[in-house]
Amino acid sequence: MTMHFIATSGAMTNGTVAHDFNSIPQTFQHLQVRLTVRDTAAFVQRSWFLEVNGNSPSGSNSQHYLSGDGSGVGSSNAVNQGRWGGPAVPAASASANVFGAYILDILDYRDTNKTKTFRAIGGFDNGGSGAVEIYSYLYNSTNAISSLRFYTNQGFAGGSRIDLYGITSNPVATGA
Amino acid sequence: MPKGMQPIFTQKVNSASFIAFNNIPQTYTDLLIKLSIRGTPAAFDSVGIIFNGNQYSRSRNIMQGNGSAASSSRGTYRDIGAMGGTNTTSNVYSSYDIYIPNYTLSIFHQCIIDAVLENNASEGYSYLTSFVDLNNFSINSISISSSTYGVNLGPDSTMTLYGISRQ
Repeated sequence: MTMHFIATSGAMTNGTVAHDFNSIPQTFQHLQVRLTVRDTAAFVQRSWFLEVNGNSPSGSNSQHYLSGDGSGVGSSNAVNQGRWGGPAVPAASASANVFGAYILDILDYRDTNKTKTFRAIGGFDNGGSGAVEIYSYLYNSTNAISSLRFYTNQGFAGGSRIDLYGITSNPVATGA
Repeated sequence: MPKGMQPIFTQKVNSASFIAFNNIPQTYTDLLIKLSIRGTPAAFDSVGIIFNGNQYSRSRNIMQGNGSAASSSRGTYRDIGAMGGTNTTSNVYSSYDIYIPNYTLSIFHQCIIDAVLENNASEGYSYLTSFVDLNNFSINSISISSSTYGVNLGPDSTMTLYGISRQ
């Protein structure tokens, strides 16, 4: 088995402000987070956010994305950020029961020779609006990642869920 | 053979211009590569992939964002994305997932890649790439390098090869 379950938010109650993964085990090669989320703000589309190792919204981190919204594609960036903010999430004015889905990979999350690159692919469709995206974030620190805080503009909608997995790299004896 | 995803081998670069896996076991259904890579020149450089040492009959289609605009291109090259060098933020490594289904079959091999090149500057890259090798062989070796042959990869670049089994 390569992919090991670490922790989950479970099905969140409506209005959950944030979910924290603390004391992340330092025993895997990579981390993967799987999100199925929705925001409670009175908009069709908002964003989900991430803070790493308790980082507050100031710093030298950056983000870039490639996005399609059903009618065109675009790319943008933001530098000198403290938090990762931007991946699209459906909110309270979106169709009922529509949730956004993302898979987020964090390679070499405990390698202290590297700053940490986050790569997420996902989006949502709302039957007439929505987005599909590949989104990245540079946590510009070589510190190992020990905690992650996820939140939205106003709070997670009921039923949102975030799962954290660890991925190993222990080789098997194949001669490769 | 256990079902699901299993690590086959991990390579870490100290001073080398490429990362290679040889004698890949032919006992899985699909392959997945997780790649954390950086270059050494003071410039962006492409990341290239080669199967079985063969550099002919291949094609790739890239959709990319550079932090300000999106574009798409097709070519017959080995490059599937890019990595930064000393022109980018210190110690930042590009992040790749490379999915290679049905690698044991003697067919054209279609690969799907999602990748990002982060940088604490407005210029950073996002990629969705499809790559096809048109040689009708089963894949028993994979090499990853810069598109500029002989140029060293950044130290601590890592590549883990996973096998995925359905049965």
